[in-house]
Amino acid sequence: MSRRTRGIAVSGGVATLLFFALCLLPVVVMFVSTLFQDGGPSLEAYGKVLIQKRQWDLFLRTISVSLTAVLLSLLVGVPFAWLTTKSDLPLRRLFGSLYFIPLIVPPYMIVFAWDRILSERYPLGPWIKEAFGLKGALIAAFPLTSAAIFLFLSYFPLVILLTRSSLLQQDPSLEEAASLTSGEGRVQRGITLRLAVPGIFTGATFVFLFALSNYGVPNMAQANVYALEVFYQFKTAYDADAATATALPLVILSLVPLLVQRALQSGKRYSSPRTTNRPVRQVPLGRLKIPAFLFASLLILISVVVPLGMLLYLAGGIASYRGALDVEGLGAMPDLTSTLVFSALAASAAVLLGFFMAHLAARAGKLLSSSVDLVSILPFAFPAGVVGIGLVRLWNRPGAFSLVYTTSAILVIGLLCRFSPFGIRTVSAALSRVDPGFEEAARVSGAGWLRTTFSVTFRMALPGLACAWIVVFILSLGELGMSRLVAPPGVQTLPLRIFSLIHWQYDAFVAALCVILVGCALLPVLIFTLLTGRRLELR
Amino acid sequence: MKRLDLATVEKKVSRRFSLGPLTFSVPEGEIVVLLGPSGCGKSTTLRLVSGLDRVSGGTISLGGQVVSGNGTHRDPRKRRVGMVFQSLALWPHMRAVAQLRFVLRGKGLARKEREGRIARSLDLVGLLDRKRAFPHQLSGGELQRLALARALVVDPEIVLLDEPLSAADRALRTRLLLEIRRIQRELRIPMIYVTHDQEEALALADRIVVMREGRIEQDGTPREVYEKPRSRFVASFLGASNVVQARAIGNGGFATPLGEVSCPEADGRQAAWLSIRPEAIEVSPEGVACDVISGTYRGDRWLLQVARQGERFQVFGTSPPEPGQRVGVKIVGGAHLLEDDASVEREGEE
Repeated sequence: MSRRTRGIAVSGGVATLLFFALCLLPVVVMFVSTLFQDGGPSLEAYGKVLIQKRQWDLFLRTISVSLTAVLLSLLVGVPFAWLTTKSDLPLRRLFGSLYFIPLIVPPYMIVFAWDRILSERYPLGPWIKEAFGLKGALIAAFPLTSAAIFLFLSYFPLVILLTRSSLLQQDPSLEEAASLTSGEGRVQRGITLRLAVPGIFTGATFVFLFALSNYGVPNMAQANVYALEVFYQFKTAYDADAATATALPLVILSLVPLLVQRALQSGKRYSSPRTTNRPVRQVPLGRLKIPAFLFASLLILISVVVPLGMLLYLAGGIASYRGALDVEGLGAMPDLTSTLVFSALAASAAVLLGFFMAHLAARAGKLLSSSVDLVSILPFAFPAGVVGIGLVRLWNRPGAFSLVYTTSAILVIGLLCRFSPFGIRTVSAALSRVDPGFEEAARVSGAGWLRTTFSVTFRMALPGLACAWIVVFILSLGELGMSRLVAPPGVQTLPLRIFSLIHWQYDAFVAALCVILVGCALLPVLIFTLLTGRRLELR
Repeated sequence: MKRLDLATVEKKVSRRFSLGPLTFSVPEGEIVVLLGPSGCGKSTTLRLVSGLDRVSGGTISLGGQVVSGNGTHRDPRKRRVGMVFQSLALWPHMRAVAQLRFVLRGKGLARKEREGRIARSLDLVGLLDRKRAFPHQLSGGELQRLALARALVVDPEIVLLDEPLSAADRALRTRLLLEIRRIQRELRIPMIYVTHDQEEALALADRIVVMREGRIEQDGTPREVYEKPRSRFVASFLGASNVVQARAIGNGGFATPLGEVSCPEADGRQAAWLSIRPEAIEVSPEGVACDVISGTYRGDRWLLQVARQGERFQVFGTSPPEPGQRVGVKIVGGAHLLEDDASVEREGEE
């Protein structure tokens, strides 16, 4: 083994071990500890919880909410992605830049905005109630439907993002070959969309996983699903074993699509890398241009313009922003600072771990590469509540553990645990584009492992690494479910503050804080786009 | 009657590059090779013929009917064109048989006839026993043959092959060229084969159309193009050639840096550009003195690079070169007149 190969193996190995200890071990400890009761192995905790009839109802409710969100996302996301990449839709570049904004707005903020839009104070809510003969609060009247719709409104851009990426990567000659013998409809159905299946499925899987694990939306819509139940069992009933047992179906539910997606992605049957610089083929929409334009406009209106407009409207003038941050008002400035610091730390750690793990995976043999890859995606299957309980069960111990558990470090580890897979996958995609030949050239020129790694590999993958950092940073900024479980006394994040303020009806301050949080998420995206001319990507 | 005719076809590709005007025909049973360096417009020509791109001027006719130009643009799927793409463009999610079925569906064929045609096409390229395989399960040669089968199954008016063997190794390329030739002879379908490889062109073509910067430099049989290149560009692009500026000495004779050479076709000119192939020059003690620069082994002999008075020449020799060695070089064959204006100074090697 050469020094360089050893360097990659050692750094990758250490990073993988750290990743395992920080991101996987809490969940392993959580499930294993529930299997041992009174000094011996026991399935009592699982038996007690899982045989209850309400568990089955909970399961069905959770599945139906998540699947509805997925279905709506697919129905809307796939056509939108196709229209903005493959057609001559007017303003498609603008639509293609706006659609992802809901991803940087934490979902509970979207519910908050819509809850106020549908309230008695504005005409829409009363009009809907009158039209359908409804009474009381609209969202609370249909908790499951509302939860599904808001989860859809929050996560549908994931389907668009990954479908667009799939469509843009296709070799145009595949379509051209089909167009020599078939009409456009058959070309698009039989070739283009079929080849985009892995991207579409990955997008749907992400929507499913996010919807399954989301805590804020079902909480605000009062929809009792697993994510809420786990939280309730742990925080209100103080029953860690019951919470763990309740989380088991949630983890299994998350693992299934993840493993299917992995199998689909690794297969060669959908691989169609571009071999030409020719632009993507544009299909003329003809008579469908106006309906398609209305569809795209309506989607952007409902998902971006209306909720963000409402937040800006509710926030009002500069006084609200000042009041929300100033010590004389709500004094949320320290919360904002700590949220930014925690998110930046988690993002940096995720990128560093991801870089060394992905480097090992990219340059190692197939088996090792595949194992590292599998390990890195496992946290996708751990919803916020599961991560939270796992962290508590692992770190809530006397001695050195308390140095983590009683400080902000637990929050940073929690964020890393929840979102590092996104970082690792994005870094991995960036590294796969760095030809090993560049490293070999540096090596034969006399550069050692450290110089080659940082002067060549790291530098060449830098835009991808920046992209990974931003993705983890944005997701961390809005994290709520895990933070509610593990935030130590005296440590508050901005999402926690916003979430508690929502219930106290401080609408102007809440909206101002929401806008500030969205601005903080948007800023690195804008800087990245301006500096690199690229769009954010997600793997 | 299957044939293709291009008449003054033009295409404005970008501000800096325009194709054409191109005029040439591909009659039934003929393979025409479009030969030229990268970016000369070969693939663009194929895309115009297939209908994937529209012409800016001129006409393209298939079987005597105008399909492009004069206000017409027949949809690619109504042209009955078979095309093998440079990337092969085999759909990764379809088995071999499904690739062929896809292109035949919607053609109004009865199921039995359709399956019969698929079987015949796969059999023709020797892939009948691999019909259930996905592209990623096929070897390089099988992929090329599957792409050819997919192009042939539609009973095309013409088959267009866009550098299909560029990724194949030499042995595979030779084998596949023979196979393409055999199939073409069997079916008598007109074909256009695009390449930048002169060996492929010479091995396959009934006619070679040499292209340069969007225009046709020469159109002729392989022998004509090789032996009687029209320009300095063609002479140096197709095979090794010495392009020399020569001065008339009377009776069809010309003086060159390597000595005198006969070129009756240039008779009457005071000066001319001549092409002298290396095989028309030999190493001889009676020849003019040149310095050996380098040489490459060509199996039965050596292709030597020699220099005289600052100019470089290629000649065949029988012994390995010794750089710096002085040898005598003598023109023993004829020279061919190039149409380039001899009053223009040489710009250097093409």
